[in-house]
Formats: sequence, C-alpha cells, structure tokens
Amino acid sequence: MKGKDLQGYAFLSPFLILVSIFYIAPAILTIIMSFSSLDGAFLWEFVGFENYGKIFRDPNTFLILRNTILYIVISMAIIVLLDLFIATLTTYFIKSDGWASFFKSIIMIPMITPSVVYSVLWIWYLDASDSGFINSFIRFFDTDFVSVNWIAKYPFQVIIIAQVVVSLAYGAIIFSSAIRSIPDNQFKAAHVDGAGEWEIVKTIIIPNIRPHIKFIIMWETLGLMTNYLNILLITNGGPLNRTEVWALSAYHKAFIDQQYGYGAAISVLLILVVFMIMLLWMFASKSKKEGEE
Amino acid sequence: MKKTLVLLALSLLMLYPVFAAGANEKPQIVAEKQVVTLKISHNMDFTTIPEAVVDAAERVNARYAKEGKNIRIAFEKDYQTIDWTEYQNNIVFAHKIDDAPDIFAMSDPAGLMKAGLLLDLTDMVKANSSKFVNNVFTPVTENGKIYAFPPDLPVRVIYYNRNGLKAIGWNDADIKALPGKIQSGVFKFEDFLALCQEVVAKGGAKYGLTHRPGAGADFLDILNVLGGQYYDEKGTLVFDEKGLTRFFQMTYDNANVTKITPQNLNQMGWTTINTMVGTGDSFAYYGPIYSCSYVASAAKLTNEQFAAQEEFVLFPASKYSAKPFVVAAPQYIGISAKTKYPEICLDLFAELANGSADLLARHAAKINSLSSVVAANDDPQIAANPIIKDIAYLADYAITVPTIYGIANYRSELFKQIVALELGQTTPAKAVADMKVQIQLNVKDVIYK
Repeated sequence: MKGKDLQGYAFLSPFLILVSIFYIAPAILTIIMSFSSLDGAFLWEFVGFENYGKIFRDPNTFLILRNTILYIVISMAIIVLLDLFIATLTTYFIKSDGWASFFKSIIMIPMITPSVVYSVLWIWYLDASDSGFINSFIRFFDTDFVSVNWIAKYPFQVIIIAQVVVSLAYGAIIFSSAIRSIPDNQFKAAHVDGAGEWEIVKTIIIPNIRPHIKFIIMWETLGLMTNYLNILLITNGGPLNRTEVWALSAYHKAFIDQQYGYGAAISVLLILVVFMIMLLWMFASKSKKEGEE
Repeated sequence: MKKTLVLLALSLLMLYPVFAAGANEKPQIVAEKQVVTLKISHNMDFTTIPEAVVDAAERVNARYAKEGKNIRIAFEKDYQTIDWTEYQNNIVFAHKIDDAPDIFAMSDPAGLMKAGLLLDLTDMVKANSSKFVNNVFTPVTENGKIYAFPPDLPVRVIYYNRNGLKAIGWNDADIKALPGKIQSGVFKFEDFLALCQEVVAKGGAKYGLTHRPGAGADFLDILNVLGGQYYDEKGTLVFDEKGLTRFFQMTYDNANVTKITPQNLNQMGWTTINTMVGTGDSFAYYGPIYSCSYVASAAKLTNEQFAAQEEFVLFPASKYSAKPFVVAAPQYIGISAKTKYPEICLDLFAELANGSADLLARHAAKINSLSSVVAANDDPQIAANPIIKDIAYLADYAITVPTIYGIANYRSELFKQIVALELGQTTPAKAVADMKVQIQLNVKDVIYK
C-alpha cells in the first residue's frame, strides 16, 4: 500500500467508524431481529426463518411488490423525463439567467417544504368533501359537479404525482449544471451544420449528460425504494393495500402492528435489494471503465 | 514551645466552626423528612389522572405526618402528548435502562403485563374490593393477578341528536321514551338503523350514522351487537366468520345502499366528524362517551348545550344479540415492577379508592365519564356534570372486555376492510376472507368459528 493510500485511509477512518456505528451495527441488529418474534413487550424470542416464511405466505406480498415496482418505475421515468425537459428548457433554451433561476427556484419549493406540510396541502387539495380545493374549484365552473373522493379513487396516481413534484428539483439542477458544462463550440458546430433543436438535444445534450442521467436514475431508484413518508402521510398505504409499498409495509408491521421481528425481516429484504443494486452499479461502472481503458 | 501553642490554638479556632456546624446538623437530620421522589408519567390530554395521584399524595403526606412516619412524597412529572405506541415503547425502554417512571399511564396493558413490567396490585385491590365498581379490573387481570388501576370508567355508547327526531315529527314524549325502549330491548339495533335512514330521508340530518375515522374498539361493539364474537371467556381471540360477515354487510350497506354513512368518512379528519356530530349533520355516532367534549368543542358548544341536544344510549339488542349493553373501557395507570417504593405507590392507589375518591370524581367529571370507584360516582362533581348526570344507569349494563392477545392486529385489519367496504372497493365476503388470511398469518392462538 502506498503512503498516499495510507493517508487517504487514515483520513477516511473517522467516517468509516461513524458509518459502522450508525449504519452497519443497526443493520446487523435488524438482521438478528428479523429472526425473532420481538413485539410490543420487547422480549427476544428467536423463531428462525418464520418471519421470512410469513412474507412469502402473505397474499399481499405480491401486491406490495407490484406496487413498489410500478411506483419506482413510473415515478422515476416521469421524474427523469421532466428533469431533462426542465433542465434543457432553463439552461439551453432560456438564455436569461434571471428567468432560468426563477423557474428553478419555483420547482425547488416542494423539495424544501417539510413533508408534513406538503402532504397536508395535498390532502387539503384533494379533500373528498365539498370544501376540498379541487372539488370547490371545479364546482366554481360546473355547479352540478358532484364532489370526488380523489385520494380514495385515484390513490396510486396521487402518490406518484406528489412524489414527482417533490423530486423534480434535484435532478433538474444536476442536469442543468451538466448541460452548462458542455463546451459551447459543440452547439455552434451543430448550428453551422444546420442541426435542428431536437437533433441538438438528442445528439449533443443527452450523450454529454449520460453519466448524470445514470446517476439520477440510481439516486431516485434508491430514494423511491426507501422513502415512504409522503405515501404514509397522504394515503397511509390504502385504501386496502392499493398504495402500500415495501418500505411502508415494514413500517406498518413494525410500528403499527408492533411486529418488530416481522418488520425487520421485510427491511432486511429491502436492504438486500438495495445492496444488490449498488453492487450491480459498481460492477457496471467498473466494466465500463475497463472497456474505455 | 510558644510557636506550638499558638499553632494549636489557631487549629482549634479553625476547627470550632466545623464542630459547631456538626452539632447543629444533628437535630436537623432528625427534623428533616426523608423525601421520596416518585416519577410519574402520563400521555395525552387527560392530565387530571396523574394530578389526582399527585394531589392524593399530599393527603397521604398529611396522614404519614399524623402517624409520625418520617416520609414525604414528592413527584417528578413527565407529561407528554405523543403517539401512544411510541409512548408505551418509551416506557418499555425506560425499564430496560432502569430509569422507568414509578407510576405511568398505558395504552396497552397486555403488552406490559407480558413483559412483566407491572407491579402486582392484587392484595391492594382485594383489601379495597368493596370500593370499586364490579369488573373494572377484568381487562388487567391475568392468572388471577391484577396489574393496573382504572382511574375512570368511560363507557362506549351510541349518541344521537334529539333535534333530528324533532325534525322528522317526533313529539317530546316519544323522544323521551326512546332510551327506555332501547333499555327494555323493545327497540332493536335494526330499528335504530331504520330510524337513521328515516331521519336522513326526511331531512332531519345529512347523515344517519358515523364513527371514528381510524382503527379502534368502537367497531367491535357493533360486531357484538350483531352477535359477532371476538374473544372467549379466557381472553383468546375469536375469528367469528358469520358475525364478521354480518358486520361487514351492515358496514357496506350503510355507506353504499342506505347511504346513512358517508362513503368518504374515513378520509375525513376527526375535527370534521366531530363537527358533523356536534352540529347534528350526523344524526348518530358510536364511540366513547368522553369524545363528547371534543365533539362539543368542535361544534363550539358548551357541555350544557351539547347535553341538551344529545342523548347517550345503550347499544341496542339485535336479532342476533339478546341484551343491550355498553362497554366499559377504563384507562389504566400502573406501578413499575422495578419501583424502589412499591409500598408507597400502592398506598397512593389505595388512597384514591378511599379518602381521595373526590380526586377521581374531579377527573371523571372533567372527561364526562363515570368513575371506577363507587364513592366517586356519588360525588357532587359527577352528579352536577350535564353529560353524565342522567346516564348513571348505563353502568348497570356495562360489560368489560378481558385482555386479548392479538387484538391490536385484529382491530387494524378490521379497519382496513371497513375503509374498503365503505368506499365500495370490496365485498363483505371478500373482506372476511382477506381478513382471515391476515389473522392466520399474524396472530397465534386464534379460535376460528
């Protein structure tokens, strides 16, 4: 090991210790807990693989898995496309820095709003009663309009839109910075060659920011897999289990039903999936680097 | 030599105050009492519960002084307003690190009993058995041992708005006679549902029957009315398919067929529902009687105004159940099994059952509830309460529910199905089947019938 490497590891060690204490140790504890029937009495009784067996016997597991995949794929696709759209619009098409910053500031508002406030706003917007914002708004134009129970009728759509709105800013800002770093002569050359705007987006902007797109896809996937706060606050996984996703299901089992062992088993499977995705990502990055070399 | 004498004199001079102070201290120790500081913990609004304990301690202190006991009880208070599950988890964790409160409120005595964290109160209760209303200890009794103290006796009942009946043409005599008809079993639950429909149909109210917007024990009472069983005499959870099917069918019909319950009730918040009940937009409601203070407040009514418009009645008998009833659902406080002062804590609870019953009456009157202690129910504070002064008879019909392991899970699954049924997103048969699968998966020791 070179001296420089050693220095690097020495500087990293405090962080590694912190990560070990606050992440790895709890993760190990969660794994141990997943083999117990720990409940509200907090008595450790080991039950082997019973909790894992329960996950696979539960008919809701398939529904929750399907919800999770759909939630991640649909939200992520919309987020990435809108991020690209906003970033291109505010960086490439709108030349005025002032206006671009103004639009970016607006899309940042949901991100910097506390989740509780944000979710309460959604609940108020979509309130099923006559006094709900959207119901009142539509009734303003159509007096015969019968109030719709939006959250109960379209729960999945609601949580996806809510998540997309809150996630937009991060990716848009990353893409925007990436577009700004593309050398100007590429755009000039394309214009000289008579390339249209769509062609410029397709052949210059997207290829140049591909690593950033991959990063945002990875980032959003992990975030969507583990973050359930907006769903919890808006639909609480319901009606029935129509918006129950994997991470929320772990929360419900552990903290509502007080089946901490069962909740831990659900979390362990989630940790495994996240870990596998990260390994795949590392493997793919390494292969690409080797290919380039 | 001179030097030595001077030094000795100076040393004695310096030591004098030390001995002098020591001489003064001795009688002070005798005069000062041993202060026993108890930690008392409570959660949510009803702080009149711990305050009754704290005030009872003052009286115990006075008694100890008379008896010449060298003890004075003081308190370190910890009152919180957090989620009950989180609160109770904190109590368990506090026990694990030997920092538990000596006396504390609880939401789920069964969990704490299972964990062995509650002091056995059996001897104290037996010594004072005549002071308590019958059966108030049933939910906290296990293997003949009693583990918690009920500071009140709120009952779960049906409320209805008398103005709704007036609006559909009932005269005062008929309105006044209805609680008696329910009590005698002449007016059944099916008649009550029909009445709710009639009130809505004739414009007496917007909705006929509403309930809480979250999982809770109130639904189990209606299940009981419809002959559904959810526990046996040993406190084992029972999954009664026929009873549940009837309950789910009624739930579905109320929201989707007769429409006496709003389909979106469970998406409304507590305040909206309380306001609907308080203003009479909802003719009837079922739940704990102490909720009426929230209802009155949401509708901007005083307790007197609310009592003037509202009737509190028994859950009627039905085609499937023989007798009308109310369910006594006391809140409970317990003593830590790890307390250093078990005798003193027990003495405080005994004091509440005896000379300090008025403190429990103060609490009961504040939350519009009856009391678990007989003497408190005779106290003028309860007798003067506008909500409870005329409903003392309900206590004669009160049933208590034992500790049931797995009931939290059952309630949670039941509520999930209720939400879907009211929205018309499932059928009663499917709801029963889905709930059965979840109970089979998540709860051990269930009787299926």
